[in-house]
Amino acid sequence: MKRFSEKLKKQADTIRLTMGEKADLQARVVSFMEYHPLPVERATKKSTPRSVSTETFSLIRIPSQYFKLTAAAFAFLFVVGVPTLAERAIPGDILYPIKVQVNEEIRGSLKSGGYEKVVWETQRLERRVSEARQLAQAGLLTPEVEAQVLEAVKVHQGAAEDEIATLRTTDAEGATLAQLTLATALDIQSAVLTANDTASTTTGMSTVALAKVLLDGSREVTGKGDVETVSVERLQAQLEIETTRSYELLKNISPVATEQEQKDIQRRLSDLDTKMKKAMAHSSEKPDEAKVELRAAWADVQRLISFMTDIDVRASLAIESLVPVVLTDDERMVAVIKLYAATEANLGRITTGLPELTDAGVVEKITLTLPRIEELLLTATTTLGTDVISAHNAVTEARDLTESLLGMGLFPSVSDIDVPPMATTTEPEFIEEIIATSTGTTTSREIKR
Amino acid sequence: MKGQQSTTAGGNHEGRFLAAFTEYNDALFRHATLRISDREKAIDLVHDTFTKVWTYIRGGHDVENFRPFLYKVLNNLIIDEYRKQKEASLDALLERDGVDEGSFPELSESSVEALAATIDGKQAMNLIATLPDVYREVLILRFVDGLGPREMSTLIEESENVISVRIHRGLKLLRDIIETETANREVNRLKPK
Repeated sequence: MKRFSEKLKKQADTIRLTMGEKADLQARVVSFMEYHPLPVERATKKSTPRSVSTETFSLIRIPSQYFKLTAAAFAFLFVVGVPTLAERAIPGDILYPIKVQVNEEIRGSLKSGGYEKVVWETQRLERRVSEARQLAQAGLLTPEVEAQVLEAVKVHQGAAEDEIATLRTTDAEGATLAQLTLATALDIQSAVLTANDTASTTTGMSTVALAKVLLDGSREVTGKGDVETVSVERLQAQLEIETTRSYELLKNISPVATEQEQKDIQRRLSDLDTKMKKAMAHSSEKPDEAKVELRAAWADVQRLISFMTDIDVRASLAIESLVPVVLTDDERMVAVIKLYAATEANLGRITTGLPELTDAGVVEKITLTLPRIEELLLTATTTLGTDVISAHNAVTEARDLTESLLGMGLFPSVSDIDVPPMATTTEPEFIEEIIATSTGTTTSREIKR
Repeated sequence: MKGQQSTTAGGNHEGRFLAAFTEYNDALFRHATLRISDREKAIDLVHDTFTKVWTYIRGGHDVENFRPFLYKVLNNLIIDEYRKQKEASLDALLERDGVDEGSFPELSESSVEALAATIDGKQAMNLIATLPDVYREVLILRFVDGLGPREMSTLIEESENVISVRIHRGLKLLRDIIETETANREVNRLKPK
């Protein structure tokens, strides 16, 4: 009997619900309970939770709704909360490994294409630098932490270069562009760190070493990039993609950027269009020159994107230092006028104060330099109608020289001297006048009179 | 077997019900599967069992002991299922067999043991589905679910004596089937090919 029942029972015990069937059945029953809840009077008669005794074991009561809510809360915490919080982590934080080893790895795995991967590794490198900057500001960038950051930077740079090498086998032009992007990013990050570093030697605050590593990395990567391998067409196409992206970024940051910042960015984008058009205009006759110009435009657009997307860059660097404005001919003309007037005012102060100077050496230096200034001003006036860039360069140099001379001794202020007529002439009138004279033989001294 | 009308501040109904679900879902499923030989249908019957018991609790009743109550509900559902399939009812089956189940005073627990000892449990398991349900039911309740005569009596609403008769007859029938099968296999084996 015992043998029979044991065997029968053993055989019967193989008939079980699978885990899936059990979960499904439980879900159906629980769902039925939820749709058919106990009447209020029965539900409110609940005694305090207690354990339920069974024949073989005791169960601790966990109401299914609490269990579900708790499970949902934990799921939300782990799937959304932790990764989000981890994004703000810096080295030393408990969530930092999640940021680097989970979040970034997942994002990286979603990147398709060699170029995208290089860009992503570059972004990771920028994130490490940003973390280092935060640590330095808090005085926490100890030599050990700095060594870790340097190591991480090198790892990301190495990963980006590996991707570039892989990309080169299938897309040599794309690889070169990616290399230029990486070099620009390293350059910018180095500049950001240098701008933020207060030359403090206090332990935990200096980022000099990191900035130097980035700058060296930039030079190294730039040296490897061979812009000659990229065709004009590819450069143009990629530039159009990047400028389109830049316009979209500008639209996106408009709610947070100041009006001036938006104007500045808009101006640089407009400059980029001008540069591209200019390069393409002579690309067939002078392809090498066009390539150099387009490559410069490429670096500019990368810097501009970095300025728009990296809050550290925006906070640390002036846009003018990253991407200087390219003046139009009209703007250059106005600048020449202003510089010319400023130079004339300086010259007035120098010639008035020169007889009063007692230092013979200084007098001699000034006397020897004045003809050069006159010469530069003459160049500016003679070339203004035909080559405004040369005029601008000449008058800028003249202004710089006068300021240098003014620093050598005590000179009267502008209010103490006769103001040159040019400085008071309205710009349109003066432009007409100066263009008219630039085509003749009139000297700047004659213009003044 | 019935629950009791709640007269007190009823306990933690949901918790006790879910604990019963956790403890008995496999056993009820096994019972239903062996009774109706249909896995999907068995799952549905177990589901219906629990929803009916929950509805009973909602109606203001308390269930003191879930196991017999759940088996009772499941058994009723299985009978309903047979009826739907237009199989012979239990009564008809019994009438056909012409057995007065109360007339076997010699059927004691010891005689059941003696008979069971002559049957191989593993073989029996494979052939139990071929038995009429009236025997299958008691054999499963007795040997698979481990219910005692009193519990089975309450569940099936028959006397303990009738239960014993059915068990005895079921075992005998099972042994006959096994012996017939064994004989057939032996004949087939000895047949010249």
